[in-house]
Amino acid sequence: MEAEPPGRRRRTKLFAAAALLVIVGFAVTRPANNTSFRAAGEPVALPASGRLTDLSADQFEGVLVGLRGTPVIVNIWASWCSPCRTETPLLERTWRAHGDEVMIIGVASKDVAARSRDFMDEFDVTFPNVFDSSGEIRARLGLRGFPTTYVFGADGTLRTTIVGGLTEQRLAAVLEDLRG
Amino acid sequence: MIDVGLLASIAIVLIVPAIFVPPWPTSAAATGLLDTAGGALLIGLIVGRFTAVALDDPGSLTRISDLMIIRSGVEFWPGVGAGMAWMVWRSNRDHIAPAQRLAALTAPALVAWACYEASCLVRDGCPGPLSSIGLRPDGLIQPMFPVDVVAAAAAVGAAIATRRLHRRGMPNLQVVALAITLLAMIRSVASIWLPHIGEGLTRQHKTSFVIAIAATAVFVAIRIRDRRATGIVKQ
Repeated sequence: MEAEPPGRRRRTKLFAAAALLVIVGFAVTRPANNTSFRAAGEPVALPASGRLTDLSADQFEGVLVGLRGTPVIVNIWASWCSPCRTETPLLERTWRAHGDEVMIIGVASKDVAARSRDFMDEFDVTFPNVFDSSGEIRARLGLRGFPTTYVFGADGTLRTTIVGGLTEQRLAAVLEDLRG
Repeated sequence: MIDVGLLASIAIVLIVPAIFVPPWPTSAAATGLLDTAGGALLIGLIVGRFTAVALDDPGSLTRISDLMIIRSGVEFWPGVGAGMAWMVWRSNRDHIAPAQRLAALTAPALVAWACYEASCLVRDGCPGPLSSIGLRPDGLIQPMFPVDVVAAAAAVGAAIATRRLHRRGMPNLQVVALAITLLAMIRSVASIWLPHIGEGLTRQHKTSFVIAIAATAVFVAIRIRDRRATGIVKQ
């Protein structure tokens, strides 16, 4: 194999370095997630765990208002969503290990209720879940993709929005942040 | 939806070692670094992803769309093993001693891993224990000590050390065993401080700990064998 001339090698390296700078720059400067949502309205009782209760957006906001004083993690999922299959067992583990310090609410959206229930059975989900049959809840939260996780502080402010699948480290870091 | 953070991480992993790690010995390379290592990287990624899905959600093994979401998890050590096996096969095909090529690749491989760990800065931020001297991961309020960045620095140190020892005459197999030992130790120690759910060790922690012990034993065994062989020659 012929050796690459030094001048050409230098140009290749410069091009690669420039491409790297562009990609990293794009990643670093990507817009921050929307954190302007704040639940309002009359408090509504939290639906029972292990069931899939159909709620309107107003009722869902009422659930969030009723939970003020406790940090809340809202996870929007669907039975057809691939990353949801990885993060649901993670959320269940979190619920079982830290359910006394943080509330987790799943919102099944853009889905068929029967399939959502099968999904919950498959993963033995015990944390509270609601069904967004009208799509109002995901619209009000400004959903951009499945799955998305919204983290609310104990005071009801939306602290962060995680678009895409959760990893254990990311979820554990969120819990640390809520404790701190 | 394009995962820009992951895309940037992959670009860093591929480009930085190729630019900054000095050219590897030409005697071990039939082609360029990326040509030779690219196949191992791809095979490692596929095997690592398959293993993660098989362990976490076997029902998804038949769904291509589920398998393709590498962000959901890739088992590290099965991926490393598969990449090394592919490299051995490729070396035999190129009529190059596999140990020679694997040893030549240890420094770029360690730097590539360091790049992936450090690129948490452009992915979601670097999680760790709460610390006043840390960085704030994407979307979080409290600063955290960036464990992954420190692990990356340690991996670069390991790359420099193994390359120097190789240049000073450490045999190829010893270099490979030493690199695996150092990498497993770094991952194992880093896992102590990385946030995780619930009590007990994570799978990453357990596997890295076991690999660290096994690789140390292999390294010591190879070193003793090589010394004995040298002693026999001297006599």
